[in-house]
Amino acid sequence: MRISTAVFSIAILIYAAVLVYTFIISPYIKEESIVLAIEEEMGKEPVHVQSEVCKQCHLEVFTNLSLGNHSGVECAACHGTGKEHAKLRTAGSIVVEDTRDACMICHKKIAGRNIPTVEENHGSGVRCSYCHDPHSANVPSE
Amino acid sequence: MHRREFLKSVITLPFIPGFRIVIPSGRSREMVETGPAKKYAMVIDVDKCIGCGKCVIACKTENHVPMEAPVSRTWIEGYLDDKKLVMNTDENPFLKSKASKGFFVPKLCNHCANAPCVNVCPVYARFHTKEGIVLVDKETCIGCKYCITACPYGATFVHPEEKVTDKCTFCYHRLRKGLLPACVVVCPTGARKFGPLEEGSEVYDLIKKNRTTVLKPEAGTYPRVFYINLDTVVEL
Amino acid sequence: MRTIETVFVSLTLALTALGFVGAYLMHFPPPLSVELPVEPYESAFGVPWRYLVALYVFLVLLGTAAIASAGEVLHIKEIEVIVKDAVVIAILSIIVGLITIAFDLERIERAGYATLGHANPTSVMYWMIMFYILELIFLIVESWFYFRSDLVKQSELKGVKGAVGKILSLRFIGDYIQNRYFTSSALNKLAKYLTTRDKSIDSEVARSIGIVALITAVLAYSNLGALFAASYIPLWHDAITPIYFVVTAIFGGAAILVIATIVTSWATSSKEKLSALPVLRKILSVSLAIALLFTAWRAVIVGYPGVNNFAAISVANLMFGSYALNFWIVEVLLGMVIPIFLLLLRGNSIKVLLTSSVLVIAGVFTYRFDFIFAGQVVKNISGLSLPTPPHPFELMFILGALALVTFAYYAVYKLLPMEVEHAS
Repeated sequence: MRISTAVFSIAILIYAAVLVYTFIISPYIKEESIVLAIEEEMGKEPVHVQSEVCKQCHLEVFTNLSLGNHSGVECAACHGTGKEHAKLRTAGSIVVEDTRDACMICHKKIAGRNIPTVEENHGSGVRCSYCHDPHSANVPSE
Repeated sequence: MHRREFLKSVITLPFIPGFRIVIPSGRSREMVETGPAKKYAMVIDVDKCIGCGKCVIACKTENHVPMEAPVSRTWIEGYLDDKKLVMNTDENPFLKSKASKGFFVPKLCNHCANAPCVNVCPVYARFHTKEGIVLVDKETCIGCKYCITACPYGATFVHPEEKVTDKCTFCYHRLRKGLLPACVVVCPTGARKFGPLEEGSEVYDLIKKNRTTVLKPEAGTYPRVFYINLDTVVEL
Repeated sequence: MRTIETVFVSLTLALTALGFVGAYLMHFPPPLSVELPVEPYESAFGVPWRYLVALYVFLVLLGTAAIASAGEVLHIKEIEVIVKDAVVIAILSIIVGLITIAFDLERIERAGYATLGHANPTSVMYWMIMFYILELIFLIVESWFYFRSDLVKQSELKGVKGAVGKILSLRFIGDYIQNRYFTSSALNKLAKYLTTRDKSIDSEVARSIGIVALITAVLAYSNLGALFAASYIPLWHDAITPIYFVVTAIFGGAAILVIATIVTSWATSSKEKLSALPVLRKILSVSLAIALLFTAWRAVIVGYPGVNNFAAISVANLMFGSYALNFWIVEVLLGMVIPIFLLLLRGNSIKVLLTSSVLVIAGVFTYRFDFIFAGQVVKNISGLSLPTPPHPFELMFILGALALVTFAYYAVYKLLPMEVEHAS
């Protein structure tokens, strides 16, 4: 029976090699890969700018905002990412959308919205900013 | 470091492109993961979500997922009467609805403490950081899509350009710099709240004071995204 | 016969080329503006595992390896005449199956780097990869011991067949050692062994490796079942799934062996291998009966009211929903019920055996697709969706992979000594 013992011991050696590789050798390489992945994630640049940064140049608008109905809304919600603008500081590098559609994204009346909403034909097709200031979000008393 | 680079280039040069040899450099995770080890969680108030979709657009812009592709790291499910609509591009499908009952549920990766995607990946391309955030090692992922099959929440997807699997990372690169995740920043109603689970943080108070639920608790994944005012039809 | 051969070879080669073109197009799709799904890999509104995964499961679960090894180990005389066919089919189907899954991976160029050093022992898929590679190694070694003495005999011929015989049987090493007159006795014994046609050592070694290969084969098949079962998808999450995969592997292997034996006997006009058919018929009918029982009870248990609503919906989708036609007509009726009746009533006739084997293979094929698609449809975040027909590129690749297996089997028949060996 020497042949079968030889064959079985070789087979057991092969299985043992697989186990050694799985449990002993590969954790080291896994650790290194994870370290590299964490470093890569940390190295990415944030794109959206938070309101504390906008406040440093646009203090008036920010005060206007924080005293009105839109006080909980960040600048990035309507003005986009702002990373370019924070670097270039020009008027063309930020989104200033002044259309009905931009306001209707949040304020159109559909089921399930518990903020003040309006119907499609509210204000008979005029731009929203004609009557409402977008930052202080006032409701004109008329 | 120079010798490692040279060694790597010599070994990998004759091989097909994309083959990379990782030589353990002796650095450990503690050396790279700086900062305190707080556990992060997100609380979503379904009453406050208005289905505007700005979180989807912000997430895709922040994390470089192509905007036209119908995949997103976070998406909104709108349950309008008995229909379920999903928003994961910059086009909002809820604005045309004429339903009478509706609510909107933003969903994202739950960063489960017992994550199925970490357990099933054959090449260990997903891992927990010390804050409990699940990250994807994009250099190792071979795209077998087992994690997509295993995730009970459908939170992961194949990135259309990089061709590896991708998912929400709680904007890990922003957390490192003390900022909030992009979706939390742009939410106009404050439906998403994010923070560490420690005394005095907003998230901690919300969980303490409200009746919260998680998605699919029977799956045993121990997720870290809590929902307030959720409807059971969402579980399906 | 020559014209049939030429037609067959050219057809399979053309389909194989088409398959590789399809694989290339899947990864680098041309910019089309028609309403085809853009790429069959999206997951947010589609399913991640599609036809290529189903084809892979079909190919690697043709359990001829288990049948061959079991036949050798248990001394079943009738299987010993087809043991060469069985291991060749097993090796070829595992290799082509691995090629198939390689084309399903999104970043295949990293597979070497990723598995080399990144082992996740909690992942069932990782162990499946390891077990199938081990199975391949053991099968190749086992088949070498089956073929060795006949290859030595073939190496005395001239031309390509002689060269193949010389190289594959490692006789050229034996000749080299003998020509150089080394003094070491171990080398001389090795040379004598490599040039002899004596089968005594070979059969003993093959029997021992057969035991190891059988264990590894059963482990690999049930591991593939566990890969599906260890998830939260209700159609798959069943303790019986790994065992069911082993049973389907056995009857799939028996069916493909019946087809291969009958076709090659007709092609080479030799009737020796047909003596294995009664045993294969027995294996086929018993495992079909077991599989039918499993299918019936699984459908009842997974979908029983009060167990799990999610599970009931997925089973209802399979049995009464979009997949009902595939399930009832092809998988159950054509794939299991009709073959059982044919085998039990008229199993002695070769034509009936061939027909029922072809039906079984079609049923197994469909079972793989249904299992994978119907299971995943419930986890679609956009809700349940209708079954998608195969994308043209996927269809090209499926045909190409099957043609590749057939052509490779034909090539092996041409080059290697596949006749039944007689104790000389």
